[in-house]
Amino acid sequence: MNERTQWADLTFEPIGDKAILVELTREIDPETNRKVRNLWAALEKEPIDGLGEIVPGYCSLLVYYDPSEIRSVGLQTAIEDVVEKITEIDLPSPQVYHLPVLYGGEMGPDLDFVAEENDLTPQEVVDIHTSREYLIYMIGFSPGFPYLGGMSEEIATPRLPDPRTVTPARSVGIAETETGVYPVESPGGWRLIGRTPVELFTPEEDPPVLLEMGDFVRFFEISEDRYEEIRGAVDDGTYEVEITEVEDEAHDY
Amino acid sequence: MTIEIVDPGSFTTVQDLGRSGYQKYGIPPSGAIDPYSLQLANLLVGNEKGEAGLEATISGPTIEFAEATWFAIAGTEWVPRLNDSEIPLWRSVRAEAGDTLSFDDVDDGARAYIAFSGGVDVSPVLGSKSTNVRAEIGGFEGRALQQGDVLDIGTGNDVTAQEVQERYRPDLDFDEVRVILGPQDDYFSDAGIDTFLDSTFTVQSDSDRMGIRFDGPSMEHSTSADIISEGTAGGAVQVPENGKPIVLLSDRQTTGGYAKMATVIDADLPKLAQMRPADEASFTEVSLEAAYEARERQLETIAEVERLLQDEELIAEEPIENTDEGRTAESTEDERWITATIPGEIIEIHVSEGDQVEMGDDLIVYEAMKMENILTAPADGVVSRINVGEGDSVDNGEELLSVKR
Repeated sequence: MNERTQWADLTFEPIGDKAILVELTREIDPETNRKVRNLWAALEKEPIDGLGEIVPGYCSLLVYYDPSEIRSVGLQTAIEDVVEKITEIDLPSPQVYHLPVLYGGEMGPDLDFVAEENDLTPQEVVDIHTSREYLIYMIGFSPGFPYLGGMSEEIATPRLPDPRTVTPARSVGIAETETGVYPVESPGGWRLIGRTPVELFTPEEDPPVLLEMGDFVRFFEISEDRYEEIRGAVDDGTYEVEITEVEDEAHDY
Repeated sequence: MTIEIVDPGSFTTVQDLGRSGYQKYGIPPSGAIDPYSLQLANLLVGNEKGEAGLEATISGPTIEFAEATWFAIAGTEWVPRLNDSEIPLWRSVRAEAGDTLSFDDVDDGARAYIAFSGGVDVSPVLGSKSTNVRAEIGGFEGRALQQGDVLDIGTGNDVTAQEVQERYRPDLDFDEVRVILGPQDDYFSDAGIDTFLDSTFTVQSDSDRMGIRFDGPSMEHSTSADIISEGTAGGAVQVPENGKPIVLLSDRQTTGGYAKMATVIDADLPKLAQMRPADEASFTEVSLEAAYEARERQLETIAEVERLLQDEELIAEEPIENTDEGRTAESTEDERWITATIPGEIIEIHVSEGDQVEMGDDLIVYEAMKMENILTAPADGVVSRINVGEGDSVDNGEELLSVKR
């Protein structure tokens, strides 16, 4: 095995007659996820005739193609050629998006439950939730929804046995060891601990979503008054989400 | 040029061929479930193939034309009427100012595509006019059409009445939906795969534009139903822990964490579009080569129809008799029954026996395919009999309520 094939051991699986799944491993870890982004960036740089949309995941890429221009086998070869050439991809250095959250109360009806479940006070749950940066492994499920990694097990909580038919937009929740934000109103079984006044999905803008794969999210607690203030500023288009460089790349995501 | 929605039917949205390039942001492609029929309907009225039209689901809308407009209907085998006269599907038809397009209640076929010469004039969102009701984007105000909506349509083209013959229409043989196995067929036992390929499955009433949910024998997983979340393609046959298949459609979640047994081939999307609750289907495995071939044939047919229409070689033979009278004029003394056109549950009944009603009044709300279907009075009259109560489950074709003139 040469160095190139060691870079990633790819498997290819046809998905119908218009897409293939390129899988690196079947594991969730930041290193694999970084390789997914590497390969994604490399494929976007190297135009392959007939290559369509690419949907990157935790450890795989769904690659659409136009069968009138290229077939599954040809596409696999073309992707392998791109992998051969991957030497060093300049991924943009990751950024941290600081999202304000009003915790508890009406906005976070399950905060008390999460606290009880973990023998903590509600404030301790908030402190733990805001104590670290979460890696955005991928965007999916609904417009702009970040799959975040790295939440502390100390505040892990099982899903609702009976999912809500409506989870309000911008709700911040916990499901097992995951945390996330619902950009749009949708059904769901997450425990809701708060809400952010910031919009994660803005269809009139390009890109239409705030967060991108490979960056980080850090939550910080705000008061009810501040929540209303930021909401007003978001509506006026004057609120700017604070973005900083990564400080804490050491812990497990 | 405008059209007015007199009655939206159960669920009618503006759709084109969908938005491309935004799945990486979690935004599904949307677009017509049956792009083949939408394209042919567009070609019949001189539009670009990918122009936006209306996708009607389960029951058709009633539409009034403000100006003379060419339109065409493709997809299902429903019975459309212009004023009182039955009009053919798969044909360009000219409506005069004030004419009304409506559909008879049917219990077969799930989706019709209505193209208007000049197209539906709504602003594209993220590169497409397609409606996505969950994200509230595209189409008309990001939602399904409602009574009283007035839609702009583009300036019409120069159209000649032409017809797409049966041999060019999609093959809607429901018995056989062709699939390619994978990507996670290794998450199922051999017995599970056999169950998938040898059984008949029934469409459930909670199906929608996100996916068709089936009931049937449970497919056995070998280890687990859960995978690490990854991108999901249209047509993917996702199988959660209960072992029942869900075929993902245009408004699907862009990523998902359930093992996928197989993927329906592109050429069979028109079949998926016509599946209605209680319909049955089975899945047949084909090779990737066979799928490519079927897709090529479909594309060639579209290209051929496009050429034939341009050369005016498909001139419709029979003229359409357009009677000018309104629908109520035809009503008789007879009782007119309102029937359920899809299995579902009665949510609300707005009237009692003996109530005076006017044509178009809301009578009954019932839920099916996650949609509230509002059944309205077919004519002015008196509510004669009510056979159901709130909370009742109803079947296809069940008589619910009658109105006497």
